[in-house]
Amino acid sequence: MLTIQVNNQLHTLDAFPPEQTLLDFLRGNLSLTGTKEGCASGDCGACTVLVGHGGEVTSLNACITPLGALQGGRVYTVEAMQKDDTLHPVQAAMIEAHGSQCGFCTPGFVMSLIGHSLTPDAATDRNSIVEAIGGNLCRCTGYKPIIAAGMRGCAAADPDWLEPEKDRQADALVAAGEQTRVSAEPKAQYDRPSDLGALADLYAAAPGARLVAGATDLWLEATQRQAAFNHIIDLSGITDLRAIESDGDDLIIGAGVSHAQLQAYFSQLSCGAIAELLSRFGSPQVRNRGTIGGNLGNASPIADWPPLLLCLEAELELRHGANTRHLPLLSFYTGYRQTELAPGEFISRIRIPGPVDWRSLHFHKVSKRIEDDISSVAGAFLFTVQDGVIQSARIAYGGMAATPLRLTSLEPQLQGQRRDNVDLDAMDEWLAANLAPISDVRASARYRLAMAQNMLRKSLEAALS
Amino acid sequence: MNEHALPHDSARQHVTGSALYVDDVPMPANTLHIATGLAGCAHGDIKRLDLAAVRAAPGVVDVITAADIPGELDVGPVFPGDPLLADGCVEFIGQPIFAVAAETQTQALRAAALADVEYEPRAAVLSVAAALDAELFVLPTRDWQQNDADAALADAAHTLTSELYVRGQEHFYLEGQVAFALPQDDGIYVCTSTQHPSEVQKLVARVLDQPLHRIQIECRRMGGAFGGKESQAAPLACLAALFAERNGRAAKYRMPRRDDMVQTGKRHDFAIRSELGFAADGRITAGRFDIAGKCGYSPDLSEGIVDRAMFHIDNAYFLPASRLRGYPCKTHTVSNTAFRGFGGPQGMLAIEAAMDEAAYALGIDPLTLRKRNLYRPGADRTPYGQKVEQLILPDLIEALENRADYAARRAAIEAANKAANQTTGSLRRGIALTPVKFGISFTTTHLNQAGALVHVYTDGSIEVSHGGTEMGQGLYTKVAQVVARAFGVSRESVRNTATRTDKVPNTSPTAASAAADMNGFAAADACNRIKSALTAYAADYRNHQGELHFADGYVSAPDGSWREPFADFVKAAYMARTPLSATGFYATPDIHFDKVAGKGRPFYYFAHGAAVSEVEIDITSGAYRVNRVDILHDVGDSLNPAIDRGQIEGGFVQGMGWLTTEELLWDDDGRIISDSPANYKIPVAADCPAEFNVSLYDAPNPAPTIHRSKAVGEPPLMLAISVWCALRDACASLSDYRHLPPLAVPATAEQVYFAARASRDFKGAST
Repeated sequence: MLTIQVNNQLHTLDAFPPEQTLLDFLRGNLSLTGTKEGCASGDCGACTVLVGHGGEVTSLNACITPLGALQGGRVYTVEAMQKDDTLHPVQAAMIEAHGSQCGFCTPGFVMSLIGHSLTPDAATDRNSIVEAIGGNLCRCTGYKPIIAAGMRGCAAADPDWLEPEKDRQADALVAAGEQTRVSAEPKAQYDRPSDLGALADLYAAAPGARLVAGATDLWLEATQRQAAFNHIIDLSGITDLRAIESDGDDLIIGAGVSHAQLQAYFSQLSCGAIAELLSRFGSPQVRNRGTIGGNLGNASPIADWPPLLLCLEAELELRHGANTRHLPLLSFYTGYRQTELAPGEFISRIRIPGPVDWRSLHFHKVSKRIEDDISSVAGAFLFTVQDGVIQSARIAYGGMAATPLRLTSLEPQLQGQRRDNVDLDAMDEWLAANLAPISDVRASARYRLAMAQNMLRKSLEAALS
Repeated sequence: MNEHALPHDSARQHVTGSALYVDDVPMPANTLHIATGLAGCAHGDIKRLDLAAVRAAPGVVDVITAADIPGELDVGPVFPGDPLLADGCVEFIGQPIFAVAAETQTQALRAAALADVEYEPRAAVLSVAAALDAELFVLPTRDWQQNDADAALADAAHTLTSELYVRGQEHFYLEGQVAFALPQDDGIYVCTSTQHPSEVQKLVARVLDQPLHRIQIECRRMGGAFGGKESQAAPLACLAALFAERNGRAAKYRMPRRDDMVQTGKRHDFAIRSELGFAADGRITAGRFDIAGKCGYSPDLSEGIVDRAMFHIDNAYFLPASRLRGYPCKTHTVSNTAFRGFGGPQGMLAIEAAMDEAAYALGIDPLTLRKRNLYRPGADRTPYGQKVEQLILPDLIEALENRADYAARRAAIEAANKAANQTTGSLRRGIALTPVKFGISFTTTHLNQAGALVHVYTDGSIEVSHGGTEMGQGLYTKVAQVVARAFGVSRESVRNTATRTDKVPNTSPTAASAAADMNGFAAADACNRIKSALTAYAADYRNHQGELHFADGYVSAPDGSWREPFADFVKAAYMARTPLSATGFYATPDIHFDKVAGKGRPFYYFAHGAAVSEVEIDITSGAYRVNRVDILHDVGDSLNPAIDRGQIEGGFVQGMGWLTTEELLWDDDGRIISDSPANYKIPVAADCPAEFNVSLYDAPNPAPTIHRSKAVGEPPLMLAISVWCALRDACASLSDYRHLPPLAVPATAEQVYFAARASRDFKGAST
């Protein structure tokens, strides 16, 4: 049974199709039509709502969020943002700044901005507001009045506006969160285990089930192609998978760690490369839901984490039932969207061997739109340089082949090259001779190659300067 | 703050989520949901259409093909050519060939995917070039001439040929296409997201073979439209009405985003060849243009769109002799349609591109060349024979140059770029100022009419209906303000009703930027009729002869000898049996046009503006930002400066998207591959220029429009041409401004990268 709290009201649902989305539930079951469907693919933010399990509340796209993922969770929609007749300061500022025209995207902007205002010490400068609404599309205003409203409204906002202390159903929600079986009908089962062992056993016993974490990719099968899922195993309830830990010099990241968590973690390490990767990775809503394990396991050739983690020689911990094995990420990808994962096996952790000199890591991304766009090409580079001589080089790309690609045969050629005699033209030629990217809707093969070449040049220049 | 700068009439509903859009209206429990099956072949005959699996799918209630349509199959808005469902032959990938109604939308979509269809393919024409080669057109071509351009070109001191392929644009209204129909005891009610309720009414009636009076259409608001719901909304309404009629149940058709991007028309691609003749001083002596629009498989609204590209090929520049040839090309792709600017932007971009090229060829600064060629006294006749009466652009541009500090910034940018060329620096900046002159009126003369209905209730509250639709542009707000001004009451006293065909009949589309002009005047006319009745009442019962004064919530004698609250006054008038409701009407005067000869006065007036854009490009990737934009735009005496500013800013950013990141692409089979927001990228907040200064040019409309205002919906979109020109300028800097490289439209980072490289690698003499 699903137990979910929406706008401080508790709702239960005995069974639902596993592919049902939160948006569908809000609009269809509860008639909360303020949350809109603009794209059903997590690209426009018109369906933005605030969601929390326990204390923290974050924004997400309801259109690609499985309803079952909300087991034991709290949801806030635009309808609940005003208190009696008093508008939230963000809502009032949106009116004052003329921030709505057609109004269809407006609830989503309101929710993203209020969500931002609830974060500790929420910044209200222009850049922070622009980033906070980076996952919301508006086709009418050109954004200027929305940015102004966001700056003004967030500055005036009360960080305790949602009053979680009034949360009367906390116990019922916690109890529900511990229930694995969220929905069960013949050939339509939704499981959300709350510990790692239970997940491993469940998946090993049902290897035909679909594993879902943030659902920012898998749920497109439901919303874009109307897929019906027989059995979903949702790992978003497993706290063990959401930890970032140090093991000596190594860093161990749980597969269920979200991009937003990583953003917070790495911002302390002053790693420009990872900051660049994350600031251009999806939108706030997608970063709140999407996980690093999903980004790797999905095996997309244009995912952004694989090139970077290939450079860092990351190792995957794979779990199958009670068994655990370790595999270098380098050996993980076997073909277009193919991996070494056996049926019933999943990524549980990612180990980044240390110590890492984060400042020697470089990441470049090229996409049609700078924000919230999928890479045409992404490149990650790690050079160890001593006295102007390259001691070691690691080079990896996304978008240049059917899988993420580490260029282990090019790397040795850079070793020993000195600042004043690096043969950049030879590098260009090597890339041209050995890479065969495709032309598609995002970029031409010719441009992809040129970008791969320039990224390597830029990274080398930066490393050697 | 200007007293008229009131918020949008639905602003509070927008921010609280209580504004109802079509998909938000509560539906009867047994509502049917519709999906269509789409053709998988660009051009061919349907050899076999086996729908057995579709009919047998869970939840399916009804399945129809062309044969099941009781009335007319064709839903072409102006010319025939758009079958509601394909009839034997398919003409683009994504064309609907059958429709399903099921208990849920998911069931309908799943069922629609189960059809077994086989095609006998025919040769498909997929590009403008191929259509021109095959002389395949959806409508007759045009050839408009004024004076002898061919001779003038032959005699010109300099000639320049410029070719530009301008790609189209997906509307990406946030609310996708949607309609539902409810069977009534003696007709059908259709609630739809449309810019043109009367046309939906007409087409539903035709498809059902019913008289118009049995069909009621309602549209309270749209979640964006931009032209995409002028003709493209009707098929959804027709299918919903048809299923409702067949099954006696409510039926809703909400198109998923991907179907919307595949199945509905977009802004036209245009291939434009410009030949310009110049005198030695840079004055244009003649222009000859071949203007070919990619119309897709049917005429839709393409006649007016190709015409409007021709009307705006001059933009703001005087062409003493001209020859304009228009080619409405037929391609086996989705039928392209209205989109903010309606062909005008494409024509305007072509001459702006050519002006920059001419500036390089003649060695004249681009802005100097532009200013030298602006319409001016004695040089004020457009290629279609209309005199440009309001010659404000020279002054407007000068004012903008000063506000934006254009000359100094241009010099500084050029110097910095040239210095950067001596280093390994990867950043370059570009700057451009471009003007806009845009003709206001439907070029189909009969559409320039509007109606309104005003009710004054006995408590003094007022309700207004009119033929215009609200798509976010603030039309309802502006018309309500006109009514409030007429009666001297507060804006809150006036409520807009939804636009309904049974309130105001036989309306024109909300399009051509003209809705506030026309509906505002029609509403004012209705108010004046009520005021006349009140004046008569005052004469008969109040012993007051002559005019009444309506202001501040009171009705008073002009000499101030008495006054009475508006509500009390109308209540008393009602008791004396005075009519407090009236219809109003407006027809735009003084316009006419001969489409074949290309001569007349198609526009009531022109709206003007100019923009300076500054960009910064990274030559290692082509990635760029628009750093600063300054706009000065002419809206006459604004009906609502806040709304007009919103239109200017929003139009600009939408135009910027068209020219930068929004790239429509098809594969070799004719299948659109930019079919979702994951691969079609409209601007996000970070693309909004960090410095974005918008000012309104202070001049009332010399034409007697409602309160001397001007149309504002479309013209600002074209201000974004300055972004494209600035990007090209930045690319040209790599050759120390010796070479202006070609730049594709849209100028994606990839295109900017290669243009900058072409400029950097330029070895020749100055071009």
